[in-house]
Amino acid sequence: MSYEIDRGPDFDEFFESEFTNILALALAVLHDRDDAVDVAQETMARTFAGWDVVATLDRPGAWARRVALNLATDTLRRRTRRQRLHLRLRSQPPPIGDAPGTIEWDRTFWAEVAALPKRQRDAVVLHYVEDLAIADIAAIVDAPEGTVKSDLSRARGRLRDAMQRNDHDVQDEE
Amino acid sequence: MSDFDDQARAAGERVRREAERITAAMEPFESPTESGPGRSSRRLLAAAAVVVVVAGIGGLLVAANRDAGVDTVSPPPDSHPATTTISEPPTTTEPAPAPTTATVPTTTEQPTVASIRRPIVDPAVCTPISATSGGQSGLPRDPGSSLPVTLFARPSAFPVPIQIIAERVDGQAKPFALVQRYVDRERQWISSDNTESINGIDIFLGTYDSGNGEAEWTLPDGSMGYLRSRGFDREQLVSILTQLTPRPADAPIPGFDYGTGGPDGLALVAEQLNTEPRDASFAGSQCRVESTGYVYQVGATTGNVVYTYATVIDRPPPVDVGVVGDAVIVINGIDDPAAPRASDVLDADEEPWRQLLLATEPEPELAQLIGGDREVVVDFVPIDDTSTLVSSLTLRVDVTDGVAFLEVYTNDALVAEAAEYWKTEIDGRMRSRSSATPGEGRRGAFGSRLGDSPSFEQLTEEFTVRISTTDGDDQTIQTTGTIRLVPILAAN
Repeated sequence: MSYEIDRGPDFDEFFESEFTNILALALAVLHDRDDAVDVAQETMARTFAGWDVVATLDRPGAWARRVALNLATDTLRRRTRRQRLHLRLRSQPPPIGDAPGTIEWDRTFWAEVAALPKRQRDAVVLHYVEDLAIADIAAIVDAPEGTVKSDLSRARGRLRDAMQRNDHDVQDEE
Repeated sequence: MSDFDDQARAAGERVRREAERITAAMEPFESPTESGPGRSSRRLLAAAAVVVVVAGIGGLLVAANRDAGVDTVSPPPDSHPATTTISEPPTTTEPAPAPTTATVPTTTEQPTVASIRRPIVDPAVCTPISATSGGQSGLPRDPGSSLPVTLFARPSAFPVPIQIIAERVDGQAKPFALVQRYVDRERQWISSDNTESINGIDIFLGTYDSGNGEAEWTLPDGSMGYLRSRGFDREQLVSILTQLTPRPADAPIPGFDYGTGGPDGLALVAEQLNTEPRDASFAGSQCRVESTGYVYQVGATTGNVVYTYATVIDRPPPVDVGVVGDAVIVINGIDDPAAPRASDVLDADEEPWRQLLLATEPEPELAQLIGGDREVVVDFVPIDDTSTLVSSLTLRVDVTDGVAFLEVYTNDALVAEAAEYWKTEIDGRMRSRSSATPGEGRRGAFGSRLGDSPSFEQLTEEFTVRISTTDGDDQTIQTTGTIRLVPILAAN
């Protein structure tokens, strides 16, 4: 069985340049390879099917990122209850990052990111994973730049506090 | 820049590297027919494979970002050829770019799209009891198997078109309408009251507190339109009806065209004739919420698009409906704050699922609210008779002159040839017996006394009902199974 797929070279280039970026965003939010790949592929499938329209947008990549972040949020919501069950039944997902000393920090950091309100989470992920400027983040999340700055600032403060608390907890245990 | 920022950026960079590693490892998408493992073609194939998976198992490829305002639907590959999914007209007149063709090989290693085939509710919310595929009757069928489905079967020489007007994304979980057109002129009016003139035609129109709605009207050629809806108010229904234009009687699907002036976001998304059985898969389970004792039924239906809509209409509103991957998740039972939601539904692992299939099904099982304008539609299933299709009965409760009655409406029942009697059992005791007429259930009803009750408000006891047809030797021919009914006020 085979299917002929035809969306032209533009989509090919888009996929080439953006798939890994989209996957990275999903990975940062979900911290689970399977879920992240699902989200990235679903994002590309939707982009592919709607390419006639998406290709006419000023920033197709922003559109796809927004789709990916929304899908990742949906997955997080579905996961909240599922996780309690599954974490008891299967081992933790393998850590992301392989440098000694960073594994636990990363795990805690991304867990705290996942717990942020959606708008703050989206801003943090786009900022730290994609290193995007405020204006670019604002375009993706469809919010004024001032709002993004404020979200980012609040999120940073919250994450910094959480990570410091975690450091203290570790030191206390030691 | 602070240490925290440096560390956060480094964490972001590690995520990026991980994403690159995952992307580079996505070799299963590579076509063996390709001459070289070029990154571009490999990745295009990956996207294509995803699309094929989504479309192939979903029956309807939906491409949309609910928040981005883009919403298109493409027909799937030929997985369910008799169900027509409707494409939106092109949104641009620009010539298509030069085609790039990719061939996706059949492979067992295609990426999976999250879906649900063995639905259970998160045990933390609702304790699983058993698994089955048997609708609301609770009668055993082959769980999870592919069911031959004849939608709204009627012994008519004229096929009945079935059309779905809905939103293009996750439409089953949102307000939608199912429209039929009967050209045999045999269908009877469900009511002659409460009509409204739309486009010069008198249309019976009803909307109910439960969120259900219906409309019925006679067209100039004598055929009859029949619409059932979920979630629309009267004004929205009128708006939808104004957009229906009858097609010629000799059209392949002689239903209606749907215009663009109806409620926002609605379109004709799928259509087919009722005469063509189509495959759909269903699996379900039951669970009990410990805090209330209520039993809930969760079902996952995949396959034929029209069928997935039909599973959530023409019955009391489910507690919740959701779409996960290609599966339409429906939860039935008593809607209260502790009730499970579609987002609580998980795909069970094989072994726990097997155990649930082996578990004895409790009886009575699913509790359903009844009373006021809340009717209950139940499957009416033949026993050991493969020639008679599953149909349905409608139950209502009414209080007249201080006596409460259970009313059974047989309009949508197909009565087996061997059936001679209707038999009604309430709380395990036979309450009534009356003659049954084999064939399609015409407009008909029979009643059974529930007990003395000055008003519906004072009818507060739960009760169980089992409606059956029997032959002259009291052998059951068809049955609803035992249904647990809860007067609405008793649930409050």
